[in-house]
Amino acid sequence: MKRTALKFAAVIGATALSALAVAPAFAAAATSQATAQSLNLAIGGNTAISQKVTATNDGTTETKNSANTLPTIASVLPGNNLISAGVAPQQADANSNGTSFACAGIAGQGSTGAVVSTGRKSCDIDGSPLTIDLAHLDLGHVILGSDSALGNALKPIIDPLNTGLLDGVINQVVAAVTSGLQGTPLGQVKVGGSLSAIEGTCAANPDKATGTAHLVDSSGGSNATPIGVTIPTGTGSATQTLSLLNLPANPPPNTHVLVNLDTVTATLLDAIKVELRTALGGALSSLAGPGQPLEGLLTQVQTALIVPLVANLQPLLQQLQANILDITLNKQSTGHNGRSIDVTALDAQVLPAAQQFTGSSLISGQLGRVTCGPNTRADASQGSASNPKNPKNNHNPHVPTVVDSGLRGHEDHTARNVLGATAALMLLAGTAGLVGYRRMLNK
Amino acid sequence: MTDGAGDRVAGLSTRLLVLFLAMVVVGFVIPSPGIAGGPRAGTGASQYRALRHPSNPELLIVPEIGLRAPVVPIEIDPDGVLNPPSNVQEVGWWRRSAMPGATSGQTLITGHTVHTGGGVMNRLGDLRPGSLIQVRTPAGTVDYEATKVFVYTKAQVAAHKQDLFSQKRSSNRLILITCTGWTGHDYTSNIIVFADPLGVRQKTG
Repeated sequence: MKRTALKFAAVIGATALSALAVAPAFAAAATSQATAQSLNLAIGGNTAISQKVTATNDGTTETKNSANTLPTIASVLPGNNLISAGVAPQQADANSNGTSFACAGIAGQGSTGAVVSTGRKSCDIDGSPLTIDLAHLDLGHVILGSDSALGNALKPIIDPLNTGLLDGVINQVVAAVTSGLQGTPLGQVKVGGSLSAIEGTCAANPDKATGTAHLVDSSGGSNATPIGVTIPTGTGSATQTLSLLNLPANPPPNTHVLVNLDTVTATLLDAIKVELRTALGGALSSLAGPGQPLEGLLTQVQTALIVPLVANLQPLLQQLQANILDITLNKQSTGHNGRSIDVTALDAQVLPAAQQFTGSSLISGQLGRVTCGPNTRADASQGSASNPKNPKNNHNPHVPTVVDSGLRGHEDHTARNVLGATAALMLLAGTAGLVGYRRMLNK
Repeated sequence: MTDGAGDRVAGLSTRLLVLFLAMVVVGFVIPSPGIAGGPRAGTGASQYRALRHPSNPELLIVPEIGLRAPVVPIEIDPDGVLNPPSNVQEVGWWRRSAMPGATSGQTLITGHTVHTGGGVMNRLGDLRPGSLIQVRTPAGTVDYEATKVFVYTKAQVAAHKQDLFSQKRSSNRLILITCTGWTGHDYTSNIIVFADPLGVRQKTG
């Protein structure tokens, strides 16, 4: 009896082992995919970088393109002065077990300065501090209006004291101002900060995809990264930095940061006035000494001239006021019922309307974009395809039943808001018109 | 106005009417090659040859809607769902569907629609019968001519899955498919384009 039982157990065991050995040959293989793109930038409206790592796995073999790390930012951005020496690492891997991961971003060149900890599940980016200037706005040089405009500005001041010699004095002052201001630089406005790395990472399995973004501060830690605007003070090459915002180290998904630069304009205007006053003081010093035509009038003349000169800069200042620093951190969208994810660590649109000015260098684009999934798991049920009694046989996906090719996009309510405001205004105008019409009829 | 002048005007009107009718008839008989003929018109079917052997698709090009996208192989998940690549600028070729150049079966390519824009197949519904579709492979670029553009609800797609996706079809056909019918929460339908292969365009001259 015992012997028979042993034989039976042996047969069962052998059958089970055979089934296990044969099963993989019939099973549908797991698939996985991931992509990584460290930089996708348009800088100054003309340079674009779009190299990307794409990894797919059909269950047995991983297919991957291109190198994981862009050499250095300097080599791909010739003449770049927006990001100090750094590297743009990007890594994506798709495994045969239905998992995938990716990381991408920028990092300072240093002891590591590249993708580190590249396991089979995740990766991290590390680097030494680098400075990122999100925008340069070159204010250029003083633009002089017509001589007559300057003359008209000076006339009410000089007229009472110099009757008869008016034209001659004004011509002298205009000539001195013109030569004195020639080439007076107004400096540059810079928007930026300093940090060690910006990275986006994601990972996916057949059930779920997750992603995150992380900013490493300039000391390699997790403190917030301050972003400031640097403007000239008006005295020599000195500058002052106004803090705009702090970028959190671990931003929640879709953290939107919108900063209107009009807070900067007043300070900038003061700096420009100081610069002009200094330049005018030098230019007019020979005319303002004892016994000279402008004796005692220097301050009044300076003030009178600064008004039209600043007026000439108004178009530029208005553009600056209208511009915004628009940053989205950890921009995320998911698809396929949460089985795929698209993460962008930092999406920036900086001073978009200032591109018309010569010398502006602006970033528009994404840093650290990764996608993971959708992945599938090995489908062992296909191993029993030849067994007609297996109820699962009827459900094998020989052909697709659903094509899930729609994604929910990132909402932009601008148009809706504008339409809403327009509709409200039209309603208001219509109401006012009706009231007016009724009043007219009542009369 | 005299009777003679009235007769002349009446005669002129009759001749003009006949001329217009003749122009309309000629217009129907000799259709514009640019509209009705599609990619085959003006070039002649003899200018196409068959692809030497079936080959994996690499690039999908639909000039009419500015679509030019890398093709990556994809697979159905265990629930029977075919998902395009997560990168919305790429399209997916169902790896168990026919390769371009095959004489039978159906070549199935799908790509994303994004309701706020930016999906690679956002404009698929703009295609019409006669539209040119090209699929580049390592063995050459196969031209297709769209034959049908229509919308099925998700339920209709499931009900017609064998007709739409089965590989038992005797002659080869290209199928492009994406989502449509955004409700604010989900997509309810699919836009489907059928296209017949013309072959690889022969260099003339």
